[in-house]
Amino acid sequence: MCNPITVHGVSKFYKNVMGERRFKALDGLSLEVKKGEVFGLLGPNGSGKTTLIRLLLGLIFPTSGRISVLGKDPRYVGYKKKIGYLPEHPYFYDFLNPFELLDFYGSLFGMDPRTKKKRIFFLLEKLGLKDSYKTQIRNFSKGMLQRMGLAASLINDPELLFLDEPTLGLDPIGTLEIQDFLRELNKEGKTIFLSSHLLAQVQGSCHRVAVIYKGRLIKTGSLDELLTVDDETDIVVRGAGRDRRERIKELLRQGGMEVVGISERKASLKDLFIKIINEENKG
Amino acid sequence: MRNIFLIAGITYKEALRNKLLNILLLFAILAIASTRFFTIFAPSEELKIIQDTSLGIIRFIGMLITVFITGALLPREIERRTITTILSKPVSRAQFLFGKFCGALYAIFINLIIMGVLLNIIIYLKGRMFNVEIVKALVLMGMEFVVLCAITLCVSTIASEIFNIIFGILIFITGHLTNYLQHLADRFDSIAMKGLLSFLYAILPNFENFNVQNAVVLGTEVSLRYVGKAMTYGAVYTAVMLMLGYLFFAERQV
Repeated sequence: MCNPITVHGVSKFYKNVMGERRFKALDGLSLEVKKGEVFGLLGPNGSGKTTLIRLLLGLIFPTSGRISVLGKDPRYVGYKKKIGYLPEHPYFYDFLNPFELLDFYGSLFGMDPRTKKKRIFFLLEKLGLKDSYKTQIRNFSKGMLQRMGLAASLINDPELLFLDEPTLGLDPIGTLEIQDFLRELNKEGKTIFLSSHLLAQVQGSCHRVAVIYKGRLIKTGSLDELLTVDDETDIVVRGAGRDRRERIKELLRQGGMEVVGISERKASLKDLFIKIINEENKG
Repeated sequence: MRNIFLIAGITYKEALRNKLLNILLLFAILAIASTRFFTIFAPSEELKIIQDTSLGIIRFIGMLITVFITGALLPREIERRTITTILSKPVSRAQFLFGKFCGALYAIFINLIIMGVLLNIIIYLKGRMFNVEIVKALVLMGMEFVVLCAITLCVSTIASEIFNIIFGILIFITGHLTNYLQHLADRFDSIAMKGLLSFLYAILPNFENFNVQNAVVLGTEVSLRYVGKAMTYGAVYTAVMLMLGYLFFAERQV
């Protein structure tokens, strides 16, 4: 069985009106995404992440190299029945409401009316849009547009998902909900290819990542491989006040270990924010 | 086919919301309706003036509606990136382009029918008659707009909205002057000039083929054979423009 995504030696140069190569977006990039994994593409703004996704979708074409998505060339339209795509800034026909838009997209996949309607209401409920299903999309906030985009990418229950900055515009709670939802989708066997410049979100979601910079692949591997610091171990201790820390350091030194640092454990600002909001909701 | 109809439907719904087009239609309706009150001419002349003026208004406003709808179709989809959400689905570029073309034509024809029905009502109120030649004139006008839509759409696969609109208007004007190219060619001795002008005459659209306004006004019958020939010319020209547009769009990076 072939990998859902194979990219081999792909370069992309953008040309000016005279046909001269002016801007190099990707340079000899190669990577593979395995079935059933969540693969993260990391890189700063302008590194080529969106360009790669658009190449994988056949929206633009490589200058050189080969691409295969679900075993097909991206120019082939048939494989798109099995994929879903969330663009970086979702744009829709804003005179439609969520139901009409998802109905339109569902029809493009040839879904039968009953299945389509069931799927639409499932997605609207799951993504917190049920109360707004008759509101015109032009009145949506950024966060709602992002959720709408995710719903649109899932209408056909795809086996391969392309998500370009999936949590852009969402608050921390919304981000957590989407991350949980993506984990659920992955447990169902879906392969997810997500691109982001938000490192913490990628760390919480992905099995493997690739880091690209200025169009070149810099590093790729599992999160464990990439993030493990050789020969250093985190130990969390309860009940060790300031007066006991020196004793702990001494014991470890006697055991032949070097103590790199000891400090009070702090929760992240994100965890604090979520805790406060949850407590308010319960109250 | 299903995807073509779906895209045509959404294109039509979007066109209905275009305020400029609604204003143009309203202007046309008011202008045609006002011909009802032409009473300064002799009664025998009034009907001719009404038909001539109204057909002129319909042709002009119909042309503007055609270029404004069609010129914006692809550039706006690309600019707003709504095209990426469609082409990432199992929709081929051919289906997308043809769907946009059909949706635009649907909107153009609705406007043409509204203006045409109003004209026929005015003529009936004025002359207590139904002029079947007006219907032939309107059908040919419809084909003229189909050709203009196809040309504008072809250009829009590679150009901006403003360029498409200006180009569409210029091609409409040129298309009504194409016959002069042949006369001009006869007046030059230079083979190169003759060749160039003959070449331009052959490739530029000849919109005068669809213009039977004078015949209608003078009460001359327009034969069904002529209508058939003009429609065939229009269909062939449209097909060539759509194929050319598809060749450009197939390689367009969106």
